[in-house]
Amino acid sequence: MVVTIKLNSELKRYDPSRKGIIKLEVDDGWTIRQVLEKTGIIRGETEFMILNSKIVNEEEILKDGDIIHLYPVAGGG
Amino acid sequence: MPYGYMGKIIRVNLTKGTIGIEEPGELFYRTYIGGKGFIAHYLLNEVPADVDPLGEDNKLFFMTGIMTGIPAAGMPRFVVGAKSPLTGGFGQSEAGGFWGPELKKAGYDGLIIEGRSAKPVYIYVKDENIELKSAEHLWGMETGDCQETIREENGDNNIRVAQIGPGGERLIKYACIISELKHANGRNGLGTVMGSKNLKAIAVRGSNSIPYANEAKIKEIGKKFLDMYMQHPLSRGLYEYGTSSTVKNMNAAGILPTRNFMFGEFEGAEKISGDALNETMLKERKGCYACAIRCKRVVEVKDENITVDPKYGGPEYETLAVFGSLCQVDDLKIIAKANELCNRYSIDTMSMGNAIVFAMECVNLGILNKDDFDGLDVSFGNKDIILPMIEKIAKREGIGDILAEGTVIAAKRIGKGSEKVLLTIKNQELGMHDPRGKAGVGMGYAISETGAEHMLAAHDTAFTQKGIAFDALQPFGILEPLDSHDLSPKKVRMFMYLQYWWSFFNMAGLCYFGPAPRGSMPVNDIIELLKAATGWEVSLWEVMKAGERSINMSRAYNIRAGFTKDDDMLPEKFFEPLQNGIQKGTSIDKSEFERAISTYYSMMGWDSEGIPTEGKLLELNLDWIKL
Repeated sequence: MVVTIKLNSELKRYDPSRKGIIKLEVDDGWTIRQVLEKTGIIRGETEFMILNSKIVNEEEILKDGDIIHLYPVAGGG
Repeated sequence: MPYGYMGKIIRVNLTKGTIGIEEPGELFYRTYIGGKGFIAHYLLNEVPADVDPLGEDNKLFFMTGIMTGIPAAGMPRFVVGAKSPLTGGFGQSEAGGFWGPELKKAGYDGLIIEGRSAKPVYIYVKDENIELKSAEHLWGMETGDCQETIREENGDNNIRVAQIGPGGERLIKYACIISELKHANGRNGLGTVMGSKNLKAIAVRGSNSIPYANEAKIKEIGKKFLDMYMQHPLSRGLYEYGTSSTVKNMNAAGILPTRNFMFGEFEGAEKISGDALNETMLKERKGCYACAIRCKRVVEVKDENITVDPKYGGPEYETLAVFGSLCQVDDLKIIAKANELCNRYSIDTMSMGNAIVFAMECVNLGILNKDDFDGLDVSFGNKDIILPMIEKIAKREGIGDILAEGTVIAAKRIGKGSEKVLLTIKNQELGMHDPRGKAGVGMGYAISETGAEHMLAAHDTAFTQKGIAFDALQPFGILEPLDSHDLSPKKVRMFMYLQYWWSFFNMAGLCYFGPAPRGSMPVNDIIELLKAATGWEVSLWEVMKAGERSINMSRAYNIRAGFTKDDDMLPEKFFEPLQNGIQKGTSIDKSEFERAISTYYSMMGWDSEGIPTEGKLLELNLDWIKL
């Protein structure tokens, strides 16, 4: 199945084109954690993972066509 | 010989025109560390809690910390304190920049300012020469002109100037203190206290070195950080975006304060985001003393109808949100200009934005109308009134004179039910973080000694899962990630330990973007640096206890000032649901929140009314505090 990762802000560096979009062919039943491992995104660098308009965690199991939005740890001040 | 600190504190009496030097001794430094630890000590011992904050008997403290000026990332900070004219209680506010390290290089760890000068003055500290100089020619100047004049008349372009602009002079209750034109001791109205004393500026220039017990070790740890910080995502992101990327994060998570905290999602968020800032107006990335991260933004706009001067820096996240989403304004140039004006006038952007949104809500509810604003349509989303409203408040014109008093006093004067619009805690307006999505931040808002304050501890949302940020908490024994809405005893414990650590940052002069968990320097490296700086056989346990000590001291001052358990509470708005975004319908359960506060008191060794017990004060070596 194919899932899409939409990267925001500093996380865009994981996309060589810097557009912030990575499409991945993964096995059925994969979790977000497995997807992060495959793309090399550092664990814990992401503050919010959003899937289907819900905040989810890395154990979330993905379906074909899912779009995961990732936002890095930021800080106010 | 002291290491890490200079061992001297300047005491200036503006009424008498006297200047003295005190040497409090090593035990004082090791017990109270600096920053708010020193401030709380002096307030409790020298400033009765019932003094008029703008009267002659209030004192103003400028204090560095034991680590301020160490040449490594994130160690530039100093803290200003006094009894706050905004909250009526313990007042303190931190800033980074260069002023703190410069003061130490001049040979001093801090200044105590007493009394009130009959005429405007400024203090010039140049190594052993400390002078009170006339500021009659500077009074009325904006910060840019004032800094330039002080540097010119003293023939030195590297003088560091902490000062007030017209906002402080006009006693706007949330006036701040500005250094380098862009670093603000923003909150609690400490610029107002400075104005009340007729003190325009403190200019410093130092030519000494700060002595360290183990220079080689400091260089080694500093170099280790330099070698890794651009590879560490938590530091690199700060370089790329500063704090501005928070706009998109909060919006995506449905907790970007919008329309006076009614909503958590703002349709104009993209236009005021870090990406928009980087693409349209970012001129430079600048930093503080010896810090390679460079999280500060410098922006420039040169349009026909609006210009933004880069010498005043650029907006942080709080400023982007308070003038942007909170007011439903999606014009980044206007927000950048608002930031510039507040820095010119020395006014806290956060309370200023909150004052404007308070006015917008009053208009929305029919409590105020156009006539009250001399014809301005102060409605949500009307970007054209932001800058005129700042001018009105800064100049105390019309209703601006009332809004300049802070929203709590403004509501009392306006009446007509406007008190119900207030979003304040202990009389201070909120930061731009919605506790409905960050429960620990809600606890911090409620408990904070300085009124609503978002910087009491690390924010919940970074610690909901294992990984690079969370794993850095292991030295504290925090081993289980928790949901950002969690208010269980486990969350209270996490919050409390991080509050100790954050309090230590304040006392030591550290920026929270340097050390873990939000920064990339490991907790144990900070302790090694402290050892190398001071030569003390110090541990994480000792600095956590120092943090706890300062929390109890500032708490004690507020108890004397009349604050009670009832003041440790969130505004009702947060017990009501968010009305849009992906967290639509989310609210805080009030009884659960009250239970968390009670649990916190109990964990802190405070009684059920939130008063430190005798045993706790004795344990912290605070037997001299009588409540």
